[in-house]
Amino acid sequence: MLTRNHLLAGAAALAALSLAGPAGAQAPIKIGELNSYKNFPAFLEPYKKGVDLAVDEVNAAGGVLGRKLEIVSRDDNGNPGDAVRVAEELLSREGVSFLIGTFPSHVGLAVSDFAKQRKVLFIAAEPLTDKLVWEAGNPYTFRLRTSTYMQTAMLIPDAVKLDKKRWAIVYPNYEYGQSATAAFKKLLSAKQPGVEFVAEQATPLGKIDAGAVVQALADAKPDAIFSSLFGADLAKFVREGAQRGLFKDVAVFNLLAGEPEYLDPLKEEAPDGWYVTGYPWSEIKTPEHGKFVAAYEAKYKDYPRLGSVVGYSTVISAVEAIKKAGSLDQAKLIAAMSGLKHMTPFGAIEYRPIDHQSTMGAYVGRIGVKDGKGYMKEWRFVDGKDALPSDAEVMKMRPKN
Amino acid sequence: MTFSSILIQLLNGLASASSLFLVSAGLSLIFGVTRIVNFAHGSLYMLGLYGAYTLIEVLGRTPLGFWSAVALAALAVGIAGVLIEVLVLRRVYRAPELFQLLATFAVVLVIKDIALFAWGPEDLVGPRAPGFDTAVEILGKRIPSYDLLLIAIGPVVLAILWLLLTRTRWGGAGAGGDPGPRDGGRAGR
Repeated sequence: MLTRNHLLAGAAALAALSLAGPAGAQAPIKIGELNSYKNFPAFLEPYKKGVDLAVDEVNAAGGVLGRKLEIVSRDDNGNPGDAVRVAEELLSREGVSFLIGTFPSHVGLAVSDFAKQRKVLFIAAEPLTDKLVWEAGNPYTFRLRTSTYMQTAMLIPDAVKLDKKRWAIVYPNYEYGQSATAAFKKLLSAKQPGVEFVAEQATPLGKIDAGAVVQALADAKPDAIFSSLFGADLAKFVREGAQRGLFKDVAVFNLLAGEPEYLDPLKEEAPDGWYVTGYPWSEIKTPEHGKFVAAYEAKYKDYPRLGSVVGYSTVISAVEAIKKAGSLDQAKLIAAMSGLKHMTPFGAIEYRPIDHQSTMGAYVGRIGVKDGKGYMKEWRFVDGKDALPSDAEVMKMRPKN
Repeated sequence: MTFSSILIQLLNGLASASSLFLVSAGLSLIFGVTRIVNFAHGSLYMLGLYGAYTLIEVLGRTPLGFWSAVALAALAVGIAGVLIEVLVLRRVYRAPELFQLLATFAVVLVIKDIALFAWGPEDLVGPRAPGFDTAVEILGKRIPSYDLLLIAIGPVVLAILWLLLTRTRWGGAGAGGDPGPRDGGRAGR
């Protein structure tokens, strides 16, 4: 008859087998990756290609700690509940060492909280909300991508220079859009006292009723508009706004709108003169970027999108952290991530010990239209470390641990 | 809020309502005839849009190219609908409702992946309808003429459907001639 002891003995034997099985040292290092692939394919398919490219390069160079690198990817359905379930599955069933990935901010926050409960490292790739490293920051979460605060801060000098009085704001109504709007209001009010925010439209993510939103903004008669729309929402807003004459004599600032995944679909309708953050991939001439583009184009016969850079750099961060830690021990990995420096296609970055935000920069410029296609003109690169608030301010926002 | 902005928002609302009507008319017609709530109805609309986009690229961005692409795409989706009826719906007419929902939901997932595979992950922004790509000024505010076209199309389609269902043999077929599934429900009920 089977007893509890028998079962335990069996389990122990199995565990011993699986440990000793495929020659311990040769088993690959597994990293769990989760993302909203089916919800945001425009960004995340290029992202996945970037991830795969980095894995290929790392393994071709001999892997990490003498072992091959393996990324186990899962779809989180763009929903916090599913994401936590998937993250748990990656840890307990797939036996991954730690977690990377996520795209929408609310999902990033959920996984970050999960990482805190389970005390495992989480490198957030793309969720941009400021809360992730500040108000809701925790010791286990690090973020690669330039946050909403940083990208907004990069646009603020141009906004202040224009000296517009009446601003209207439109944003996708979830964590990222709310975070971007809050950062913009705070930063602009500080630099330009007396500025008025005359209208605010919070649209459901992916379901903007563009005609009504454009009309509501136009009714407020703004001098300038700040938007954090992206994807299909952005395309509809651009088309309706242009047809209804909303953008005539109005300055428009739009986070992310210069990223090829969102700019290229607009083709000849790309809104000329908008101030944006983005990725003028064909014009960046640094050696680290040139090398990345050449490898990417050789592998995929396609040009990189911003997602490609994010996916690629996230894997490099994970690999560099393991190398620096010299082991897969969580405490050592987290210690290694803090202050970790490495190269990315956008240049050198550092994960700041103070808030776990990387100093990855972003490209800022204006949209132009040439040969029926949108592109970024008058662009400049802003280093992430120049777009962050003072250490004292960060300390105040981030919970003590 | 001024009178003119309320009027424009009213027109915006009518345009959205009209496009929603166009989608739901088909759903309700299919429910009336087959007694199946077709979860994949919206997916067929999506297929139609992607098909029209591709056909316009092939036929050229001219008025003729645009409108014939729209008509051809509609026909093609009609054929896809027939295929789905023969391959999927026919097998679940007598199944419990839950299985019908499950089967048509599976079609949603299949079509979603087909679209992702065939048309890629990037958003596609189709051209504006030729002849309806400008805006009309009403009380000093601009409204796209395409929205006005939509407002007109909805009632026209409604009238045509009503005539077809009540005044022709085809409509009567749905009422009784065709034994149909289950209880032979009246079309469009």
